[in-house]
Amino acid sequence: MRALVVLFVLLSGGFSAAESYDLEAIVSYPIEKEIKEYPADCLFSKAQECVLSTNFHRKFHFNEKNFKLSLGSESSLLRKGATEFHFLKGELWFKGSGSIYTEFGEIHVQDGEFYAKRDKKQVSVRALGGKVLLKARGESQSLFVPNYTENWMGGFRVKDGVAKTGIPQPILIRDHIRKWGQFYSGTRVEFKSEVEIFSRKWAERVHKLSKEYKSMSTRRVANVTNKRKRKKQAKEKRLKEDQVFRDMLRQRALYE
Amino acid sequence: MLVMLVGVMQVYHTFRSHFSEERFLKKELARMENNYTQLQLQNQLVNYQYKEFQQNVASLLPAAIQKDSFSYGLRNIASVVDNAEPIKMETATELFEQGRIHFEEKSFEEATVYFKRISVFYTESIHLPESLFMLAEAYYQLKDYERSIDAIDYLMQQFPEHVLTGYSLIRLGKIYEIHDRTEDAILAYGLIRERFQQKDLIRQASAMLEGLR
Repeated sequence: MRALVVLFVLLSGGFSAAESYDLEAIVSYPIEKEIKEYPADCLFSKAQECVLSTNFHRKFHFNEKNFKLSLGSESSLLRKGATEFHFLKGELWFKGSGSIYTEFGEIHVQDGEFYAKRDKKQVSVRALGGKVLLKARGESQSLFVPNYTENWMGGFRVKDGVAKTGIPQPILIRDHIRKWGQFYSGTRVEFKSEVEIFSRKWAERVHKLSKEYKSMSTRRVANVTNKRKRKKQAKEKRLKEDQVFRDMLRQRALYE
Repeated sequence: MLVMLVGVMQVYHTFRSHFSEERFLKKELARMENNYTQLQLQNQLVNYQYKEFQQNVASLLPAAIQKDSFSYGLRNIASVVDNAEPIKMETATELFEQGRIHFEEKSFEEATVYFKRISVFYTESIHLPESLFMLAEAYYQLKDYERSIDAIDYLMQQFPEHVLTGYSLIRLGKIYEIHDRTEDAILAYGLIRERFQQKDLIRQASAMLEGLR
């Protein structure tokens, strides 16, 4: 019941997002003019490694052959060689084909778009188009992130022998539109029409996902119930057997 | 005259700004700010490299642990790189305290869980005799006499001269009485009078015996 209510709220929020959201209030980040570099002046030099960092409420674009990468507010990136980018801090927007590296794993995208943000514990990725894959450290298979959903990957767990990853969830659209606006570089009119198209596609995806998750959770509940039932039966059987032995021992110890 | 005055003022202003400390301090501040930024970025880079290395080690550990599962060193590294939540240490004293609290609150069912755990996992604890005694008492209160006898039996085997064993024998006698086994009860009370020297204990055993006769 609660899931249905959440779904309704999400859907109603999504359909009306473009209409009710005050797009005029969205502020786009100005372009960073004094990007921080380490080592100094490494951006246009042939340095092997270069750390680049933006200031508060600024964005910086990298235009490479196969992709366009925008670095958000107070974010850092480590560039290794020509096309290898490691995401150190903050948020970024990626469009095209390529890979972004973090200590938790890699984010691959083919002819698509994604938004990523990270903290010390995990990196979250919103798939916005194309094929977005998360390849967590130590995992042989990549995790597909369906469009208009968000997923995350965290550190490797030695105990379980796998990296921590989440399950895809619909993007929180209001937060996303605000974020999108901050990175957007076109006009307001263009942005508004793109938001409307995005909202419709997003709502469609959420509807589809809710059906999938509903059937998945029903299967899971049934599984858990069966498991509990079997466990209870086994316990009862064991207790019964224990009681028989106990009675026999008691009989022998006290009455013989 | 006026031109001369303006000229003198211009020269004064030039000299003043040239020898002023403000310009020097501004330059110094800019240099320090730049240094600070460089250090911050360097720190970010080192931190990232450290985390990357940490994750590399973490992903290699499961295979290594499988090969040598008793290696303390490997387990130690695993606990560092895994970023797990701090391990909560369980002690017999903590368990005993929890059991005692539940016992005093007359939550005998819950109390047995804690005392039972001490009797199984913490056999070298100083709280063992007391735990066994209270376990027997809790089972007695729950009218689970068989388990109560088990606990008393364990106590008698492990601590035959402990004062609590004497008190638990009184409880054993009581259980015999409930089951109409008066002779066994008399034996149990007699045993207390023979084996133990505590006056209060002997007095209690004697009173029980008097009651039976």
